[in-house]
Amino acid sequence: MGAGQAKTRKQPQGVAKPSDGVSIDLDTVPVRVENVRINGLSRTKDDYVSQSVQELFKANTFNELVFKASVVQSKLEKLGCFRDVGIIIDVSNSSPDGYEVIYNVRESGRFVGGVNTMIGANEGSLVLGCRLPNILGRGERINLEHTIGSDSNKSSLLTAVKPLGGSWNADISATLFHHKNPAYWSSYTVFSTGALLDFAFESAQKVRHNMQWEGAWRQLEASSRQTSFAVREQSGHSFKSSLRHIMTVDHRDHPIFPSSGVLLRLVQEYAGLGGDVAFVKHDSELQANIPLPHNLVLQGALRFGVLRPLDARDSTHNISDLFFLGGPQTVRGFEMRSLGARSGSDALGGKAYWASAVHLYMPLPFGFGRGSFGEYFRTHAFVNAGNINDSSFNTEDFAQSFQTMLKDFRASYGIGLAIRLGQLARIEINYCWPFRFSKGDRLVRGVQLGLGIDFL
Amino acid sequence: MPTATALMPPDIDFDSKEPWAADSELIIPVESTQVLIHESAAILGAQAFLNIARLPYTVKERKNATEISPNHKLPVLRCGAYVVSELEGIVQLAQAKGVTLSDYLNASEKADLRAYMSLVHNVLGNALLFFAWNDNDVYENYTKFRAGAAYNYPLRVIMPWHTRRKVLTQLKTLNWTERTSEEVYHEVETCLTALSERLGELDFFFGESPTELDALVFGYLFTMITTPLPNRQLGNLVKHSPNLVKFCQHVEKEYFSQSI
Repeated sequence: MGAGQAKTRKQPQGVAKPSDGVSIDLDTVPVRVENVRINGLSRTKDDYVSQSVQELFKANTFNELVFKASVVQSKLEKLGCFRDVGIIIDVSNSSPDGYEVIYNVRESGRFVGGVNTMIGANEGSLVLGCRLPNILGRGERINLEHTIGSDSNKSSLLTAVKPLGGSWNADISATLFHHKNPAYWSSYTVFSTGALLDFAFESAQKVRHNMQWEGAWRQLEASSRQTSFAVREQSGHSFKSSLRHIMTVDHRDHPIFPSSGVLLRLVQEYAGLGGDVAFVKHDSELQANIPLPHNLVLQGALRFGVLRPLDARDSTHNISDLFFLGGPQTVRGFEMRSLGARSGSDALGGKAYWASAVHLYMPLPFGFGRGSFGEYFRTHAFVNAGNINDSSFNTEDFAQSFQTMLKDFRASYGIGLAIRLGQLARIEINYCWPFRFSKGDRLVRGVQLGLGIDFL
Repeated sequence: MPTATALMPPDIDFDSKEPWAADSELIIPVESTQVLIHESAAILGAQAFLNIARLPYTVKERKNATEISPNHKLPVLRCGAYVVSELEGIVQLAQAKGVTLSDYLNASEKADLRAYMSLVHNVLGNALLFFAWNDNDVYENYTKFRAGAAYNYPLRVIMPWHTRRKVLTQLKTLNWTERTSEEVYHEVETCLTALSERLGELDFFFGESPTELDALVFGYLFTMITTPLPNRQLGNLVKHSPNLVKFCQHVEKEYFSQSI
């Protein structure tokens, strides 16, 4: 997983003071990079590394050189071939303005193993993994991972990745997987076994595309005798073969607590290249952050998704393909994935949903911990609204679908504390007041705890 | 797998206050393309029971009937909020609703009933499983196509293989895979002889009126007579015992006159 290491680096506004007292503006010191040396390469191929250091030769002033040298350092770190990367900038003997940049790298071993913890949708999991980094010298790697989740999720993955680099920053990967995903909100369990091919590239800066093919043999099983018949009757085997396009445009300044910028994420899936299921599924997410005075941030977010079965076959999709809504990560103040049609105690999901949120984020009151641990906390006030149902927005009933989606929507407001865990995950403790709901909805009036990566 | 434990009640408390739901559904795989010989026998046995007990139901064909079943056995009966499977499950549900066919038997007859049901399950049930999945000829020409019929490629190929592996593992634990077809054939013959002797000249196994055993036996025998496997004429074995054939004709005429 590409942990977002988006540290913003500022150009150093350095002014050096040599011992004789005369100050030199480093922005005006001319620089010509004559040589870049990388020490410590053994199995990594030169051409793979050299494309990352090209921009050093474009540096004209000393400040630029220092800035670019650190950019290249982080690029080298991201190649995934080195355990650490050190920089030395030295003068070159051949000409007065000549400089030489030396990187001392340590290659990572041929085999890396580890035990990690991971956070998903309100569950924690333990990841046992091993990795063969940089197998052929150009960043190729193989990962083997086994994940055990606290909700008795289980998954095993074998992934092979080949970076293609270039101006598109592309890479290609193939994954074999086996998952066991229990859905306690609908009392079923899905076992899926299959393969995923992924081609990822950037069409412009910060615009990332994933083109994927997934083939999966899914087995849906009622998880107990108490499972309602509406869920039980969907059990069985099916093979899904689908093409998926994911586009992510992320202009935010921070993945967890952004203060400005926009995120747009579009997912389109076409299932029906052979196999037993046939549907088209769209999912979209838009988030905008507006900085306000006094370190306040106003955040608005909207999600919308629709699934449309493709033919009149009696089994074009099953419950595990549908959308679910509700819970601390989407519409707060309701139980996890509980909104929409239900049968007994089981949520049945829906073919279309929308959900929105407006947050006002504030730092801890009284400037508590500002600049240090306070950066891990935000307080927020929010309003959430959303709805889910079974209309699939066919052309005939488009207007009606729209109306049913807006009618009887659910909404809640509340205040809470959000805590950042590293660069990826977050915990929310909220006090929620659901104020628009329907009979039979499962409300959480009061304290609700959320843990995960994706928050609306 | 029909074993002795299958005859024990499943751990559900049936609410006996509610009567038998008139809209009960007997869920079975698609009969014309999917149903295998052992499934057909189990379905027919359950239908015989329901018909004899005059419990209303409609037959519903579902491609995933086996997976809908709580224990992956057929047929599945949905009655109100309850989903039960196999003849045993249905018999217990009916009993909870106050309907039973064997109330008039005395204790030793009841023990007999259970013993014979277990015999039929263990011998005929496993024999049909054996012929359908372990016999290569039958598997290649009959079972494989029907087991994959509900799916498109690639599950059309994967599922028969997957199910075969599961069934053979079950048969193996019962030491059935080591037997030859001839041995199994012989075993069926012995079982049929035992049944034929028990039946004698009676109309039903326990005299005047049919019991659960009659339903079960009818399911197997009628299927064996009417469903020819590619290389086996199991029906001929039944035909060696004229009283069993007569029994089948009798049950069919009496209880299936409208529905078959």
